[in-house]
Amino acid sequence: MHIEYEDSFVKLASLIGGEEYLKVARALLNSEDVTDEEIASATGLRINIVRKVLYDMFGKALISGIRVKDDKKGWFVYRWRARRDYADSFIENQKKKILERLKKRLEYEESAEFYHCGNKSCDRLSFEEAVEVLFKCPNCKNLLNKVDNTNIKKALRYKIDEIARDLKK
Amino acid sequence: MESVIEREDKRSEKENIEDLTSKVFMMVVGRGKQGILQSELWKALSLTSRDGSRVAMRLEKRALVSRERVLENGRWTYRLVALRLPADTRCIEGAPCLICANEHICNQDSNITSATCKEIERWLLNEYNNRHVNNETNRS
Repeated sequence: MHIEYEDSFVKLASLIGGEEYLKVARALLNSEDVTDEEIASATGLRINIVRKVLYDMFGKALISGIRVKDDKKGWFVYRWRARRDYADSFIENQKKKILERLKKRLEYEESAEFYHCGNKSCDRLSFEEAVEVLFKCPNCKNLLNKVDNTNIKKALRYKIDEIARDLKK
Repeated sequence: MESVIEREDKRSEKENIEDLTSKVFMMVVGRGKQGILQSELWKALSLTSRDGSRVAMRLEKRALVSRERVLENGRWTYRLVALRLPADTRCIEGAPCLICANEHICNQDSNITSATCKEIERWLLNEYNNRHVNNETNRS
């Protein structure tokens, strides 16, 4: 799936939902004020999938909908439109939010020593928590050993730097 | 009535056009503000002018490019210019926060926090190993 040079709206859709979202987003850009049935026929996706994607995008305020009366059938249908101008600021906000979370995580990683039993399903404990349980994993009862978190700290610094540089552009 | 095979053919044709549209847009974006001549583009992608024009019109309809009519070597052609450059999402691609169901309650004071999030850890380590370590290997 190549999205590097897609429109921001399509990129965003792909980031939050993958292939199905990407197809719906492209269909929304191809024709304005389009119904769920028209999107389903243009993309080949099942109507229930299209509706699920549309409601999720609507919940995230990425699209807007208007209710109109279908002249042929006589009932009300929704026509959807992409909020393309909102996509860029949404992406920007997400970058800022993720950056803040990563900074907090780095602070946490640097503030304590961690202990783990080696079992992937068990959680890592801080030194204080490990003392409380006498260095025995509260889940599997194995002995807790000190964890080297150098790699995660390096990875955090790398990503923080990458996002911060991107936001400065 | 349209057969299943015919429908599948139409669908894959649509997907091909989408891929081609993306490729053309990539080239237009690559040329920045000066844009690129349609004829140049079709030559580079070995397209017929019919297919090429369809793709260009699709991009224009999506308000991604503008088509300016220009006279080049005595012949009329179009210059495609990107109307706005797409946002760069590479640095947050694959970030679990984008699809996390608990994103709205994720903060320092709740049980759901980035400090203990295993998904964030997995994403970061994968990214770090794939990109940074690969870059280092390529350099040496």
